Amino acid sequence: MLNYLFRRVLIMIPMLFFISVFVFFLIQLPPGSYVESYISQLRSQGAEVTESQVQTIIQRYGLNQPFYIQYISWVKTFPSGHFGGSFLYGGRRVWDVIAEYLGFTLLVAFSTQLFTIIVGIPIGIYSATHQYTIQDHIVTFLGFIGLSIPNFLLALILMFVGYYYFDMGVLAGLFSDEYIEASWSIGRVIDLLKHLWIPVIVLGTAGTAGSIRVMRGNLLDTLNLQYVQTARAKGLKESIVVYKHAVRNAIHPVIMGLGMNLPMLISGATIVSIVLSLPTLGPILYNALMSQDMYLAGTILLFQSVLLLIGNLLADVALAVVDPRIKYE
Amino acid sequence: MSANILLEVNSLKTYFHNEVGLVKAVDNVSFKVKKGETLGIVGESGCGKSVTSLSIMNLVPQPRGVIEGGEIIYHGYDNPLEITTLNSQSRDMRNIRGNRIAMIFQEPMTSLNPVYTVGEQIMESVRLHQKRDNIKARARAIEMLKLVGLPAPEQIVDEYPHELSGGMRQRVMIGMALSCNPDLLIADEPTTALDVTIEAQILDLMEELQDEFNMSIMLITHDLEVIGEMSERVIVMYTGKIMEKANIDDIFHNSKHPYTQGLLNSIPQIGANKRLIPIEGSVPDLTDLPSGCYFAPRCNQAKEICWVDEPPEYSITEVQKAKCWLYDGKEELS
Ligand SMILES: Nc1ncnc2c1ncn2[C@@H]1O[C@H](COP(=O)(O)OP(=O)(O)OP(=O)(O)O)[C@@H](O)[C@H]1O
Ligand code: SF4
Ligand SMILES: [Mg+2]
Repeated sequence: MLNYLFRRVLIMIPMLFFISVFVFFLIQLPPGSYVESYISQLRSQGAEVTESQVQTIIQRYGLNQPFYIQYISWVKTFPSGHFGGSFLYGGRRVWDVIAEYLGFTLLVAFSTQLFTIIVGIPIGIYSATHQYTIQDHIVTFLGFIGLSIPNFLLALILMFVGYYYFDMGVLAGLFSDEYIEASWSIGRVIDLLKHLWIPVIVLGTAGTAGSIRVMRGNLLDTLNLQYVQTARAKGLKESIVVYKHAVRNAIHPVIMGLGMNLPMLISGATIVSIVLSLPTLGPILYNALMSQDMYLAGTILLFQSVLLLIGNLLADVALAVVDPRIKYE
Repeated sequence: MSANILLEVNSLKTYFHNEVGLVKAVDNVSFKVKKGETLGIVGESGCGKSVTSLSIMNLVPQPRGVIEGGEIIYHGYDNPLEITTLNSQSRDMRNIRGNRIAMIFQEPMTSLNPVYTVGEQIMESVRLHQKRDNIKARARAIEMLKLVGLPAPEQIVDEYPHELSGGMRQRVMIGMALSCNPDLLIADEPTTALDVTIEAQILDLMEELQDEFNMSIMLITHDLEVIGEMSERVIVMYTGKIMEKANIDDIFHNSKHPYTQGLLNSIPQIGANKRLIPIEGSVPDLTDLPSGCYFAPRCNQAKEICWVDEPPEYSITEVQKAKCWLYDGKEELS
């Protein structure tokens, strides 16, 4: 197993190489570059920009170089942990820009993941073991709504309801105004938790609804299997039959879904983060893509790929723990 | 009630309320299981054999399946206990399941949980019913694996089902079922999925252990030959009803019911060069049964009345009964 893990991590290196080429290629695809959009922006503001100035800027950023040279100059910065310079942030190191938002991004992502697990799996189990009851129908119905409602709309609804009906003030951001710049304290943590639940619910609803549906469907199938009947025939309590014998055999696709979920929580969170003004990477990626800040956008996308690979690895490990038939050599 | 009866099933009715209609999977079935005997239940697929055994375990698939009537009386305690009055989840019922009445299933490939070792699955029963700690339960599991003739039980105890063959898994199932010394073992087609050599071994093993544990066996199968090797008494079922009850010799040499005779004609006879004559036609749809005798469409001795009225059960001898109009005039039982 350890051996296997080591090899899985090792294999990520060439995979990330291909992903980085691909990502960089994709970002270069749209016509124009950061400089051009920057200059047209300057000009529209009435600034005088001469052709030679333009050339200087292009030279400085190396934008006249062929694709592979630009790519190599990006990759060269990896070992030092810079990941190039960001145009948008006045040439700041990409990593420094990302680091500023990374903590909250991961906090929101993992909290959402946890929410999905804690809420989705038990409700799915309940729904399956109470098939065709009113509770089951309600859960199924809410699940469909949860899956189909757009996240930003849910965010707006929650903010609206919180503001008008519960007098909670504006439920945006991760901190109240007085804590935004404050240093860490117990009060700041509590304030964070008070704000965190909104993005967690908004971002977690779809995943939770998905988990409920997958858990319910799969558990229903599993409950019909012979070994579940065997367990009952032993005289075990129904709760043990369900949790020990059925759920453990039914949870595989839920785990795999959660593994895929992790990077989605970042890119899928863009609009929600804008609506809720969250200090996370989603809006940063959005801006970077819009203004063709290629090193910044590329690095965030690369980072997402790393999360996807890690998520899958974690899911595979969890599967092996759950099911002894899965053996990694 | 004579003292040597272990289980008594009276007018049992277990119905399924399926979307296509009401299915009377077990309809007015009565029989007794004596202490220490092997009772065979035979019949074509879908005749209600499994539902009969699940009714005894009080494990009829919910919510569709319902025991609508009749009683199932367990005589293994000092006082008779009526199983159908117990809640399926109740402690009393769970104390019977796996402890007093154990069951093994048709499909050894799927009747063990793939994610637990066979040892854990046996120990689970032992811990539950015999209140043994882990160490003693494990010792018991190894003992049972040895008893059912598995090689290297100390090793197999830690293996997972997928590491064992079908025959080995069925041995594990038997070991698991017997781990708490049940009075009654319900074996629902225990060898159907196995090849012939393994089948013989498993049947031998069950017979051997029956003596050792002094338990009764309800052997369910659609194979009369298997019944012939194992049972003293036989019940022949068709479309949820009992067609004939008799001692094994009478079934083979003096069967009264046309359905039993049909089943007999369809088994290959060793030595005899007789042609196989399978029963013509097929089992009717349980939601759309003919009036009169359900077997009439396939029966070559059907009379006029057979198409109109359902035959009662006639008593041929003290031990042989047949539900067939051919015996009109004998003592009627129902
Ligand atoms: N879970 C269920 N839901 C609905 N109907 C069922 C269910 N189980 C059994 N039945 C009905 O009960 C009837 C009897 O089924 P049963 O399983 O007892 O047959 P069987 O004699 O054991 O057949 P086999 O030899 O195929 O195992 C079937 O025809 C089926 O229509
Ligand atoms: S009652 Fe009639 S139809 Fe039914 S088995 Fe007897 S003879 Fe055949
Ligand atoms: Mg069956």
